[in-house]
Parts: sequence; structure tokens; C-alpha cells
Amino acid sequence: MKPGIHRGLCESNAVCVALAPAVFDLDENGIAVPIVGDLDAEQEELTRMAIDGCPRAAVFIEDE
Amino acid sequence: MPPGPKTRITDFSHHDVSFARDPFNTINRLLEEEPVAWSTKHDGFWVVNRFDDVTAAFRDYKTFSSQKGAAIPVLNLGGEYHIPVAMDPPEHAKYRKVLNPWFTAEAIAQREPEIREFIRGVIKPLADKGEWDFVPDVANVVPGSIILGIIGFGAERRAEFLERMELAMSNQAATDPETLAQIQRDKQWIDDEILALMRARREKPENDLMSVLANDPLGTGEELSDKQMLGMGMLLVLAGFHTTSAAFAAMMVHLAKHPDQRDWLIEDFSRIPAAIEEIIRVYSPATAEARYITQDVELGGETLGAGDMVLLNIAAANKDPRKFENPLEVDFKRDNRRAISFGWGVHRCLGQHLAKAMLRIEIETVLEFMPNYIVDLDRVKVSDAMGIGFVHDAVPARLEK
Repeated sequence: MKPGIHRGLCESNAVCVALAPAVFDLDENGIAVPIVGDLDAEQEELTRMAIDGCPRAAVFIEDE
Repeated sequence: MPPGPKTRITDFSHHDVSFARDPFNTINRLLEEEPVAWSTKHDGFWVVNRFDDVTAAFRDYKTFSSQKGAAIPVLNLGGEYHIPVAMDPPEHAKYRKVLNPWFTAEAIAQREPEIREFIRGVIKPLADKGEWDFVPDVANVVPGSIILGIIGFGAERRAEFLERMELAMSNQAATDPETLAQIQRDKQWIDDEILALMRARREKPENDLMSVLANDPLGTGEELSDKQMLGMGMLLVLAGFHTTSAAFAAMMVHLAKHPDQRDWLIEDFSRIPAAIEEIIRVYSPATAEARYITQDVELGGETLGAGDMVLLNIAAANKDPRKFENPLEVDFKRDNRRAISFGWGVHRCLGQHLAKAMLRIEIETVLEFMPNYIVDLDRVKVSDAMGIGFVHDAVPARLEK
């Protein structure tokens, strides 16, 4: 399972960074970026919360 | 729960006049001597001040719950029922998703031409007149008018609403029966207006936010109850009026005191957004948020007990020297991506993109029509009530004749 961000949608609300700081960070433009390649179980749960919490629905999980 | 024997005890209250009159020294004392402390005010509450502790608490919404509202004491205009700020996930997300599309940066960008036209209509006549007060004449006019327009009340009703909110917002810790009775009457007036608009939009929907809220917003086949409607309506009205006003006034005063920084913005308007982020980091338009502890938790060396209330001090966290170098220095080039002026986590400010757009356009318009404005600094009045935010009561200004 890979976390992802639709860069075209992200508006720097940083809800994902707050909820899952080990999974997402902000790049130099304030846009969220994934910082891990593969999610463990706990990170997956936090990422699913971020999916629910993102005001732009910019967060996703990719099945490999 | 009463604090333990070694707990730091403080008499700090964000609503005290002593805080409003000396906010930066008070914040410094909290950060260095009372990072997590038990305050004896407002029936007792924890105050959490350092950046890492405040953000950790915002993140952990299961332990730091919003179910008792987002203020200490409870916001006197129905704060315990405000939707969605007085809710936790997953319930919170259901309502937030209804509101989100109206307040994305993209949605706000589409409104920008009308916002700009409105702001020009406010500021240009003042420049022609040559003398004004930035607080009543601009700060208190623009945000309220815009949010009332988005909801569907109509921008022209701004003054009536503001009149009903002023006493309540500047008397959050009031106990005097006469003040409380007047606040109750004011609240009733706003409640009646919200419900009247809701009924009108159920009858005949229009192209505004109330038309969505009034007609099965959750898509469950059911309308909101009156209580739910008031929880959402009151929050939108309140949030829309006050914080952006506070930020604008702070910016005008700051630029008046620092002509070099004003010139730097005039040189290139694209520097204004970063300047706004810096002003709201230092002059917090939202002082703090409250949470309710659902299970015992360690924070900053203290044990916060289930059932306790806790104040997450945004104003202090944003000036924590562990996170921000020379925190009291206003530096428009500072990297503020991690500042928490709009809160942090799932409750991060819904209206932040609207607020930033209004502020940017207000500042651009001021610097276009009255770039050399002079503030009468001796007559600038800082509020004695800063429990809600860093507020100016008066910022008299003029142009050289």
C-alpha cells in the first residue's frame, strides 16, 4: 500500500501532515508529499483518516 | 481533575485584562516557566503552550476531544453546539464535507473579482475623504459583509449582525447578570435570523450556502434540526466576522510602524501573502482552542486527567523559540509553513483561504489607494479582551493633505 497526494488538488491545509506526520510532509511550496513508500498497518489507519479529513480529497492510497 | 502535588499552578487566563495589556511577556512566561500548567481560573483548566505539545494535542483528537466545544469557558454564543467545531471524527467529517467545497482556495478564487470590487468600494471613498479608522471603516466591514453574502443573508445586513455580536465577543468571561441577559437577547436575535433564512430557503432555494444547509445537506433524506442549523449558522457567522478583522488591523498598525516593510510590500504585491502569514503568527487572530480530555495522558511532564479541560495556546505555540527563531520579530521572509495560526489537524480553519484572500485584497487595495497612510499611533487602542484574538479597538488613520 502506497500513500499518494494529488498535487493539483492540494491546497496546503496540512490535515494529512497533522494526522500522519510519519507519512506526509510539506514540500518547499507548502504542498503535501508522501515521505514513505510503503504503509505499515498503523500508518495505513492514519492515512485513511487523512483521506477522510482532507478538505480537497487530495489524499489517496494506492494498491500495488 | 485537581493537579498533582508537583504540578505547576498558574493564575493565567486568556480572558484577563493583564494578558491583553502585556500579551508577549505573558506568553514568554508561559513558554519558559509554565509550559503545561493548571490554571485556577474558569473552574480550573490546563494550559498547554509549547509548539510540540500543542501540535501533539491537536493531532490526537481521540484524547483531546472537541465534544465540549472549542473555548474556555464555553463560547457564550452557543459554543457547545457549534458544528462542526464541537464534534470529533468521524461525525465531524460528515458536516465538514458539506462546507468544504464552499471554502476551498479554488472556490474562493472564483469569488475574487466580486470581493475585490466590494473592497474597492469600501477603501476608495476613505482615501477620497482623507481620514478614517481602519477598525470600524474597513476591518469590521469587509469580512462580515462577505460571509453574510456567502451564507445568503446579504452583505448589506452586516451592521445589524455585528451590533449583536460585539458585546458577547468582548465579554467571553462575563458573569454579571445584566451583561449575560443582554448577550442572551443578542443571541436570540441571531438565532431567529438564521432560522428565518433557513425557512425561506426551504421554501425557495437560491444559489447560496444556506440553500444547501437548509435542504438535506448530508444527503440522508432528512433536514437538519433547528438546533443543528443554529450550530452551523452561528459558527459561520461568528468565525466570518472577527478573526480576519483582527488580522487586518494588526497589519495596518505594523506597516505604519515599519515603513521599510511597507515599501517592501509596495515594491512587489506578490510578497503580501507571506507577510500575512507572519502577521497572524505574531498577532494571533485566534488565541487558543479548548479540548476535553477523554483519557489520562502525559504531556510536558504533567498528567492530564480524563474529564479535564485543556487550553491549547496557539498564540504561545506560534512564538515558541524552540520552533521559531527570534519569535517576536516580524520577518516577512520567514518560513511559516508550520505555523498554526489557523489551528492544526482535522479542525484546521475552514475559512482560511477566504480569510487570506480578503486580507490580501484589502492590503493590496490600501497600498494602491492610500500607500502613504498615516496612523495616529497615540490614539491606537488595543483591546482589553484578547481571549478570542489579538484585537484592536481603534486604528485612526489619515492621508497627508
